[in-house]
Amino acid sequence: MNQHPDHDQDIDVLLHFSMEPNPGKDTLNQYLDQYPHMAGDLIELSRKLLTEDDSASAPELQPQDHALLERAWQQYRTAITSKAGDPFVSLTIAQQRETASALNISRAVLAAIRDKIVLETSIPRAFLRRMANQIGCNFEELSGFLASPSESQSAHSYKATEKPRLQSQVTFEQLLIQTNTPVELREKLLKED
Amino acid sequence: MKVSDVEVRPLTKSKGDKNLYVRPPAIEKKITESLVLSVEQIGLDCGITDPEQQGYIPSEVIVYLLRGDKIPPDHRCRERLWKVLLERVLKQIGCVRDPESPLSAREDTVRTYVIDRLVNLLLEDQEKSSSRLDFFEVRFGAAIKALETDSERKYQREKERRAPLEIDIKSGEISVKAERSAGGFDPMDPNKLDDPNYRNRLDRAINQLEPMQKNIIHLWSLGYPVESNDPKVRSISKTLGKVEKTIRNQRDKAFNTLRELLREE
Repeated sequence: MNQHPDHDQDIDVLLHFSMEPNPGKDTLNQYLDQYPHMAGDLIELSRKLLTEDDSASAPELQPQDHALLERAWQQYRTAITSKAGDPFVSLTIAQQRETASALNISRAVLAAIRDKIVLETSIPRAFLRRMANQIGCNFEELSGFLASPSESQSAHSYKATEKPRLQSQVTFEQLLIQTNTPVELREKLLKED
Repeated sequence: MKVSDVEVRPLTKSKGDKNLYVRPPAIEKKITESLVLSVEQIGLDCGITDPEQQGYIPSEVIVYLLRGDKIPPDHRCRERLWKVLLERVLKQIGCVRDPESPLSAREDTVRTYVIDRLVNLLLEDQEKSSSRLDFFEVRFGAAIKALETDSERKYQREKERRAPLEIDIKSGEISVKAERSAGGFDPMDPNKLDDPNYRNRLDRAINQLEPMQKNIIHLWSLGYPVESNDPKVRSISKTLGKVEKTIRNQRDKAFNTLRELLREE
C-alpha cells in the first residue's frame, strides 16, 4: 500500500504515542503542542489507550472473518515464499551499496541483476562467483536464482513456445553500456572469466 | 539449544529522546523461551487462548517469530501464528459479530484497513527490515489501537466527503435541530465510575458517539475546561478549534446520547 509521506509520519506519531506509559493529560498535552493538526486522532487514541481491553469477551470468529484471515494469509504467503531462495532479499540498502562498491559496479547494475533483467548466461562466471561471495551465498544458489523465471515471466510462460525470456532482458554487456559504465571498466568486468 | 545460548534480536526503533525502545522484560523472557522450542511445539502453543495458561504466546512474541527466520516461510506453524495474531486483532478492535448483527460500514472499513495495514507492515519488514514493527513487539495491543485510530480518521474523512455535516463548518456552529438539553445527566459521575461494570458499559456507549463528541467527552473526563481566558491553559475549545457554544452543545448532545444508550443496555 503506497501512502503519502505525511500520512506515514502521522501513523508514526500515533504509534509513538501508543507506546507512552501514561497516555493521560500531561503526555497528551505534549503531543498536542507538537502535533496540533492531529488533535482529533491523539485525543481518540488517548481515550482508547485508557479504556480497558475487553477482547476476552468477544464472540468467536464467523465464516466471513475466517475468509478475511485466509485472504490475508494467502497474500502474505505468496509474497514470502516468492522471496524464499532470493539471496538479495535480506540485503539492506547499506549492504547493497557496499556490495555494488566491492564489485566495482553501480547500484543500478546491481538492481538490474537482482531483478533478473540480465540474462544469467551472459554474466561472466568469475564475476558471479565474486558477487555470491560478497552477498553471502554460494555460486550455485545465486546462479540458480538468476536463471529462474521472474514472477512476471512465470505469469506469462504458459504462452511461450521457447525458453521464457522477458522482452526487456538484456545481456550483461548491454546493461553496462546502458548504464554508462566507462569502457575500461566494462572491458575489465567482461573479461572476468 | 539452551536458553543461555539464545540471542534475541534487539529493537532498532528510537524514541523521541533518541533512546531505543526496549521490550518489556516478560516479553523478552517469552521470546527467549520460544526460541528454544521446536517449531511444532510453537505451532501447538499458539492455540492456547488463555493468557494465564502455561505456554501462551503473547502477540508481541508472535510478531518477533513472524519477523525472524526460525519458522520456514511455507511451514504450517507460520500460518497458524499468522492467523492467531490476526484473530486477536479482530477481537481486540471489536469487529467480530454474530450473523444476526452484521458489522456497520465503519466497522467493516476499520477492520479491513487495520488488517491490510498490518499485512503491509509485515511484508515491508520482510523486504527491507523496517523498524516500524518494533512498536508491535513492545506493546502490540496499543500499537493496534494506533492503527485503529488512523483507520477511523480515514473512514470519517471519506464519510464527510460524501455527506453534508450537521455542523456548519464555516461558523463551527451546530444547527438548531441538533441542540438538545442534557438535563443535568453526567455520565462521568465519579461515584458511578467506581463501578467496573458501569465503566465497561460507558466505554461501549462512548464508542458509538460521533468522533468530535468522543473527543469532547474524553477531554472533559481528563479535566480540560471547555473554555479558558488563561492562554497557558489548554481548553477543549482551543484544542478542537471550535467556539465554546459548539463545544457545550456537542457535549450536551453526547451526554443525551449516552444516557439513552446506557438506559437501553
